[in-house]
Amino acid sequence: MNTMLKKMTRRELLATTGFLTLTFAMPSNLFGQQAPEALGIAGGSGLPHDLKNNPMLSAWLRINSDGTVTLLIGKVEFGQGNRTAIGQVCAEELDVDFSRLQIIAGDTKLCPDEGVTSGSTSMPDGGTAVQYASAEVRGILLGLAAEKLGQPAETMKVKDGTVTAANGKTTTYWELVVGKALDVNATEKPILKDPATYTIEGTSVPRVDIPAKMTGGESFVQDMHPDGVVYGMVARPPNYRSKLTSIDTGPIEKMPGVIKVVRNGSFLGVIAKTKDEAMAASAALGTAGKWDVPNDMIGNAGIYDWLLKAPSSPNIIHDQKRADGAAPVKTIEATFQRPYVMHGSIGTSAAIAQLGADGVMTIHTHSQSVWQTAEAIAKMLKVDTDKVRCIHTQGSGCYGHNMADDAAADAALLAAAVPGTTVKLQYTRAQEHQWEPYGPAMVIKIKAGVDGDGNVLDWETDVWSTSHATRPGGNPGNLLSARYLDPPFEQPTPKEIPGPNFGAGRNAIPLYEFPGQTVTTHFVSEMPIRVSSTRSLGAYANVFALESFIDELAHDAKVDPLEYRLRFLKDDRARAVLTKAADLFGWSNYKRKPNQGRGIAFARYKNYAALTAVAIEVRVTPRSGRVQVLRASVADDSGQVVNPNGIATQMEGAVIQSLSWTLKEEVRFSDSAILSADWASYPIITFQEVPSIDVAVINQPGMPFLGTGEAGQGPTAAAVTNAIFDAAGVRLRTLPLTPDRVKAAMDAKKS
Amino acid sequence: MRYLISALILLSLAIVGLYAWVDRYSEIDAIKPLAANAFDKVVIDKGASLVAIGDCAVCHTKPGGDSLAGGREIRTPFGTILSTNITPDVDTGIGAWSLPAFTRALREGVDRLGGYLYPAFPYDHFTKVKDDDIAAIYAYLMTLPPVSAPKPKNELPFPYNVRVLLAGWNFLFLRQGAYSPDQTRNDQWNRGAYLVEGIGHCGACHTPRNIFGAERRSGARFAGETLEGWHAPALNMASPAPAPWTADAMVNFLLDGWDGDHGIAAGTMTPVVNGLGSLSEDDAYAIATYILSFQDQTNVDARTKAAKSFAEKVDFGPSSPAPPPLDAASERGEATFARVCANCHRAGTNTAPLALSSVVSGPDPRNLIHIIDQGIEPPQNALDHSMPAFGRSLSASDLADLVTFVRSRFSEKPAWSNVSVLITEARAAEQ
Amino acid sequence: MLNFQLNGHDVTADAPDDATLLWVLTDDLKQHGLKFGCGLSQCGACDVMIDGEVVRSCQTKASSAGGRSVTTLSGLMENGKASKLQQAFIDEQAAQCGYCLSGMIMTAQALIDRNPKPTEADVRAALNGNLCRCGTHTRIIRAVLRATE
Ligand code: FES
Ligand code: FES
Repeated sequence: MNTMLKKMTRRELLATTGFLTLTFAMPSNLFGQQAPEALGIAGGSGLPHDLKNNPMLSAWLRINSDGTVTLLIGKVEFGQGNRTAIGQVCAEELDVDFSRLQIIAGDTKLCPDEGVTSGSTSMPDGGTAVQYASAEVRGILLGLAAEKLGQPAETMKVKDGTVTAANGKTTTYWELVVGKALDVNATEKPILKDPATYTIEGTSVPRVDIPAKMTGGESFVQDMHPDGVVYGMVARPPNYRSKLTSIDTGPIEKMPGVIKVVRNGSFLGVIAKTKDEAMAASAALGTAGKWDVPNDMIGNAGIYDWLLKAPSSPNIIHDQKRADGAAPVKTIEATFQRPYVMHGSIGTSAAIAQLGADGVMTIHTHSQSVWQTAEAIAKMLKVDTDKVRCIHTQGSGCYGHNMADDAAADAALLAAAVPGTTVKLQYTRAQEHQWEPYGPAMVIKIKAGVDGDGNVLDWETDVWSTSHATRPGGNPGNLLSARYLDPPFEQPTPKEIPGPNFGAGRNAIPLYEFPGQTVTTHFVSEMPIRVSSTRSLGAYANVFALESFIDELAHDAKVDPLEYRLRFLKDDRARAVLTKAADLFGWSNYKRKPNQGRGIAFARYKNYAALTAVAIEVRVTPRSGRVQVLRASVADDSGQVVNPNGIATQMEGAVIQSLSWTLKEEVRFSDSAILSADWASYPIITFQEVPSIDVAVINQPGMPFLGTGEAGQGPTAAAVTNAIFDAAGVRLRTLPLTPDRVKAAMDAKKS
Repeated sequence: MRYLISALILLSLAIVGLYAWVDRYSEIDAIKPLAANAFDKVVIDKGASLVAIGDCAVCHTKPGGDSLAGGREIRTPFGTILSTNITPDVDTGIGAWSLPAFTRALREGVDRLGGYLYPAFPYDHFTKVKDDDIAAIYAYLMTLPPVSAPKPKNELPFPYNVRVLLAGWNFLFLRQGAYSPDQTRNDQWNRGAYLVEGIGHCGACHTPRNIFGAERRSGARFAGETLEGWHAPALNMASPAPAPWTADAMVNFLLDGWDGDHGIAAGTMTPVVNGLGSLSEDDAYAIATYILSFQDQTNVDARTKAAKSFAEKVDFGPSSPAPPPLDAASERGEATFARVCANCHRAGTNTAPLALSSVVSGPDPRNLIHIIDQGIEPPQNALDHSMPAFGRSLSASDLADLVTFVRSRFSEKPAWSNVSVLITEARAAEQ
Repeated sequence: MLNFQLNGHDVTADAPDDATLLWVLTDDLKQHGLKFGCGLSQCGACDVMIDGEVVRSCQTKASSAGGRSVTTLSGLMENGKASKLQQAFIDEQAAQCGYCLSGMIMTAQALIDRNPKPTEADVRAALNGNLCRCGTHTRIIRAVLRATE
């Protein structure tokens, strides 16, 4: 083998040079999204940024005399399996059995602040920080062992925390750590393991949180029932901009079980002894008030026109001029539209709060951003930040910024009214559906100038969108209820997050090597409908548009869509992923049946993270326009694989959820109300509609962790749309791809 | 009592006919197991789709049992019959059956050994199937994996367990021979008739039966019948569908188990539409054409409009007008409906309006009772339409009030009279 | 006062007849294996069994349980261990957040009780009224089939 030709991984670099010059620079930006440089290999500081922000090793790891290891992390679990995967990284690098780990995550008092758990950064940020911290702690322990055993550290071998010197003498981690040995800052020079020796990383360690969930254990904040708990509910206004003009809360105070009615401005809440009583009282509260209700919403049908006309600031995020000047022989263009989509957690958001005698508001929350939410709540309550402690407790999967933070804030508002009493709050389904910050509607226009062979010469993308980022971020104006208090906290006007790959512009830049490329975002700062971060942000719609349009170009050039993509895709890993998905699907020997078709799509999430390709087969029923997804084949390269089964699970979930968005979902609203109030008025995918899914997980030993969670959303949407085109000859550019739309397109084509 | 009388009549008939028929059927020789490649793939595939259209698996598979290996209980007014194993197992199935033996069973209701089959096996319909279609069904069944599953004994009381009676039954009610087209009708209608009257055997459920358990003829054809506790609605002029059926709607219903103007297939119809899912659209339209020729096809548009505007008027939703004055039972039922049902059955959701459903407008509340109690499992092509079971959540009196309310609110037909009794019966049968 | 059997034990709950069974089970009787998802019978997160039949506890009055036998997710366990079905879910790692899973397992158990050898189509049909937002469907189907192998 010609080793000279093999690309050196960072660990091989380490092995040959003995020390590391890597960078994990760039603290997360405001919204926890990671910059491309984070995965680069040169310049800047030498620590992974979560470790750089929290350099004290004892903030991450404690070696306990009882033979256990406590791992403290700031990235939180919400079903993505990161607790297990990060634990694997720790156990691997520290050389202890996985079962020795106790993991504490997302407690603002105990854990290192790792910002927001979002953007598929648990592994690249959190995992890498833990890897480095663990390796360094191992080094320190070996140093202590060397001292104790009087043998050189380099000759020590470790197995599950037992250190053996060359002379056969042994000691254990649990004997070595005394006092403040780990109260030292991380350096830039830990010795990382050679990936070839991994025994825990790369294996499908079963998730630690699953057994309790399958046997009725206490797993979620919604499951908690502390002694003496009482039940809080809120009553929301008729719509976003309503104001409470008057209310007589007297009758509600007299309802059975009611402990307290809380009114502050237009914020209404109630605390009662039982959940039934709290629900009854809040329902009564909801109809008792007189409200000033403006009917100035746009209605979902008009949203795309509104987006194009609303004041926006064009921002050229990518501009690559084509060198040679031959004019394109033709120009092809298309417009794509994506509606508001819900997070739609199966469990409504919940929180448990108590104002303690020490003046500290302790909140159990399933927020993704415990630190920033604690800060925002503190400001809302007008107390110091250290007077609010958020303890992350699992909730129903959230897929972005849902109502979790609002539930924490509402529980705190109610608990503040009954000091010393524990208040549990869980929203109704309608409250969750109608008030959560949706994934924003978007319009994407793409134009391509092509040469005589159908090759793209010039590519232009324009993206219109409202904000994708209104997380609390330490600002009470981003907490829903805070905006209704007297005096209200104003919601800050959202700004476009700078950089090419963060909000609406995520994945708007083609990875294909087209000579001329211009990509412009049109950021609309107004928000007629409440919006925020939803799994993959703009990438879902942008990849849907881009990868649909590539298919249109391939069709126009009369070239197989897979071949056409490979024509312009030069990166080896990208090509490998695309080819792998195609092979898994059986692309080259595909036999078409009547009304059936196939589609494929690819994206590298954020253009620098996980690489994912999805191939899908559909059947379209011309009579009804119904699209049945028959099967999906997925290939994913998330860098160094920590837990293959975990990656496969995430990919399956991404494909299924994306199919649900793509085929079915659209938040509907009138001029005065959100009409999508429950699962009957906002249906999501069901068992009958879910295809079989094959996932190939490509391992890249020694390469950086890329994260997985969001990478499948966009490619799935485009693959299914392309498959519909292949099956029925109609190109759909407005989501969702409902039977009515498909049928209308097919009828239009016939006539 | 009336069945006993009929049995006595039958018995005398049987005696009359005894000499003529008893020895008429002899055993047909067993065959050797067939080679795997004995049949053409195209023929097997055709057989598979005919078996699906014929819903053979519905009766010939017991819950949790192997497909087509028999053992399902079929409850008839005469007692319970257990279906046979029609996989090609030599000892317990039809592995030893030759094509002529198989054809004789379908055409004449007689098994390979010469014994009479009960007409719960609808050979009065299958007799109409053409030879090449029978051969295709045979090819398909004989190439299935054989399953050893001995048939348990039927639970038929005397005299129905005397099989020779069936000679008389056949004499009276069986008209042997393949379907012959009606020259006054077009090809589509004739194709539909062939499928419906033959392999599809729609009348077996939808046509009322006489006291001998035979389908009534002429005007009663497709007039609706109750079996296994479910009411198979009329498909003729008496169709209870509030919006008249159209060919498109019926095709949707047959192939998907769902149509927006009629609702969802439920109960014993669910496996039927699941079997029909593989039917070609041409055949589905043929079936619709034939069935619709029995229905009132006048003023379809006007009647549809009227039904829909009624549905809109009574739909449960924020903007719906105040309901008409109700009796006390309906009022209680309305409260339950508002709490439990209106979450899905209201304007703006993906349910079909209750006021368009035959379940609510039919002559018999049993389907509604069963559906509320047991829920609806989605037909395989209706994708996201299903309903949870509320049986254990509602007391019998809650349910009676609810059924009464639903009828009064969502149908213009008169109230059902025997709701409570039927609930007691239905719940007893479900145990 | 309400008396019924919960997972094989006699229990008494101090709740009015028209209390919601879900809250009686979770808040009064400290059961964790059922969740509030919608309160509307639309999602199945709250599924439990009464006398072996699945009900949506969010829309069932506590009085419906009176004198009957109620089973929640933890009641499926056998001698303190995961049941065969529960173990199959663990072995398939059939969860993402897992919030929907208690209802899924209860519904699947009811299916298996009436049909010990379900086909994939049977499983899909039986679980169709149970919603999962994480997209764990294919694993859930595999887990049920694995338990009935
Ligand atoms: S919580 Fe009961 S069905 Fe959703
Ligand atoms: S696993 Fe999260 S909702 Fe099903």
